[in-house]
Amino acid sequence: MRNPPQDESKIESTARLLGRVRDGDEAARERLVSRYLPLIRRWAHGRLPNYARDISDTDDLVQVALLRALNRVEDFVPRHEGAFLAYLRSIVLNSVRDELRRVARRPGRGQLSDEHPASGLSLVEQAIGREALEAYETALSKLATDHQEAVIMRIEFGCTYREIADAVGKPTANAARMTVSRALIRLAEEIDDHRP
Amino acid sequence: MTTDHDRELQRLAEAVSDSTSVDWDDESGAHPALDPAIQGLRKVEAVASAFRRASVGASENTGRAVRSWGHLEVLELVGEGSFGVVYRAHDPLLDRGVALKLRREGSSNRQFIEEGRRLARVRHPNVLTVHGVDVHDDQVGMWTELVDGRTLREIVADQGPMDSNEAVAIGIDLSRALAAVHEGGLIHGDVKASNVFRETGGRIVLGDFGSASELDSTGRLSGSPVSVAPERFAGAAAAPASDIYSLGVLIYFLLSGHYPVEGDDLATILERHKTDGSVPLDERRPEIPAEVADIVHRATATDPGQRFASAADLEGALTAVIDGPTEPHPAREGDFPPDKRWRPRKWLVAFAVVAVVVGLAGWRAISLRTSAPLVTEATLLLDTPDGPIALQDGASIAPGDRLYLEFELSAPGHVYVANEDEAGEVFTLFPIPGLDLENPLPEGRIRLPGAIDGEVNDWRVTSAGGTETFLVVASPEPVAEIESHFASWTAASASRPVSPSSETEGLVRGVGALSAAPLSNGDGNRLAELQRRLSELEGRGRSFWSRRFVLQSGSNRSQ
Repeated sequence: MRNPPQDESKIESTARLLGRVRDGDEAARERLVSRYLPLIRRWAHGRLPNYARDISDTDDLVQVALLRALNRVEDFVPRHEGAFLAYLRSIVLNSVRDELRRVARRPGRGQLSDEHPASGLSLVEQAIGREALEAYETALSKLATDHQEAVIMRIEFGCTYREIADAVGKPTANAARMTVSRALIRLAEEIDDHRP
Repeated sequence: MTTDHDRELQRLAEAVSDSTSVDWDDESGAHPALDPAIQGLRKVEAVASAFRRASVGASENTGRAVRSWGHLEVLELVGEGSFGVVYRAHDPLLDRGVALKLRREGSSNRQFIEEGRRLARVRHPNVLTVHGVDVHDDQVGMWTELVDGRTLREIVADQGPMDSNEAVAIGIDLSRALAAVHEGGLIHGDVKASNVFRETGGRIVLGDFGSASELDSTGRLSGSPVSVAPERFAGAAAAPASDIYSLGVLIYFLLSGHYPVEGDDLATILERHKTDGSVPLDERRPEIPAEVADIVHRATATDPGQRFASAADLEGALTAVIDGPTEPHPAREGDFPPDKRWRPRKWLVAFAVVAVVVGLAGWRAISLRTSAPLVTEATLLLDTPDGPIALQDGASIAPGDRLYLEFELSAPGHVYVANEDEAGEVFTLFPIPGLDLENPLPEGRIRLPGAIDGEVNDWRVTSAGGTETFLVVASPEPVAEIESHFASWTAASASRPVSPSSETEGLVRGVGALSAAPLSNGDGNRLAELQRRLSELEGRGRSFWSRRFVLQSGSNRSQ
């Protein structure tokens, strides 16, 4: 019997695991968590504010968000693995924002942030400014879905073109490379419209 | 928008995606019609860069692999080379950190693998060590030793220009590295400060062989324009002289923070090469010792024929300077021509003075000469089933190893080779009775010990015992002072049967002469004394070429 090509195998695997999670298979849930947790954790490290960047906080937040995403898996029908990653990102990002709002309401935190403004910023915000990150998010949201996924995987998650090709259903790494480049050019046009 | 514009934007978008450095101001200036799109990409690049840095921080904090490549655990992005991105990774099989260079998609697989093969052919403490090249998930990667340190460019940017001793010491290490590269039949092609690392602890490591080429290969021209030898722009083949030029530029940079020939664009640099528009080092740093400035000027001479004949010669000159007394560069009116370039006559005068001083101070590897070198490209090689390995100072040898010497004789000459072990016992390796070759040797490429009855032979190491010193001396005339000593020393035996499959193949050198444990700090004392006498004779008008190789003999070779 011939083994399926690696990319097909990967997509099938994620889709199959999601199907098993829907059926209440805990082992499949564990496998998905172990597959995506390191990637999401690394990404979240750059999106969390300074005071919440302690590794245990990041782990807690990311794990909770990931489990939350898997609990809602009935709502999500993956076209491909890249879409699932973008879906996870949006869930975690919402969790980060919820966390920021929760902490902002907590007594004492506001004062700390006033004294140390940088403590309320994520690493990415510290590097380029909150306004620039918001402009990027706005521009990103205006892209076609496949372009959004390509940008997220390459720019935010640091995936290789091969991984992107597998995840978004492109035949080759070079095809994924072309998709990423086109998406970045579109993103540049949008981001330039939103920032002076 | 034209197709050309599309291509330009595509190129810049790929640069953003691949985190390749872009001079955005230059790009905007070169393509004004694309400026809005370029500015947009510049903003995207800032976002991408921020995400990458944040990810690296996450990896450092967690110490956990962000992904795997083959059996390696990829930990963090640490930089970029000419053809790929470089990650810090962990080899769980050998439980050690490695640097993993993954080919940038779009560059040639073959070219990347060739880089690994080239590097693997060179084994030297000052050259990055390659552990392997492989393909996983359609991605070609090469993993090498992980150098914990900073590039020389970063060090100069951080601390400013170096003092002459520090720069010369680095120059010596890099000369040795280049000698090993050249002896491996390669040209590095891109010797510059950002391709050289100073490891924590001080070791200098030459890396990034992405521009390397075979000797005499014209190939493509790559490398930083300010560091590329001028003849390469005119289409000359890559050669040791072009690497020597780049190393001279690097030393110039370490000492001044500038380059001999600078310009805002390639056209300006080319024009300044043509019009002799280089700035002498001593104009930038008048306090630099004259000998150092002379060496840099000679290494960076526009005419390749005026540069050092080999990296070993450059090493010899630098070694002489750092070991001997130096004087501040005096303001000698008329001492240097207006362009302050190296002139052979002045160099020889300076070198003769230094050579005597260094001979008294204890010398490592110098060339003594009054005219064109009699010997060039002298290399002591280890003969292995996979091909020869050039042995540099400090290299390890072991019982059973087969060694030979190769060099180029520019004219017929008398050559003498001897070996001294840790216990101070000396062996004559050439000339010895029974060999096909005898003095005087003919002009051209020579391999010693040469053949016996037409069958090529090597010297064979027969036991282990610490430092092994090899002395090679050449002269146009017989050297009675040497021959009298050689006659009193034990000669390597050429009486054994020679067969490629025989255990006793090769010239057996002093069976049992190598002691299992050092009896004294031999350190090549008798050969050093011989060299000292030769240097004294040199001062009386005699002409010699000599070189000493210092190896370590153990029970196992560990290169």
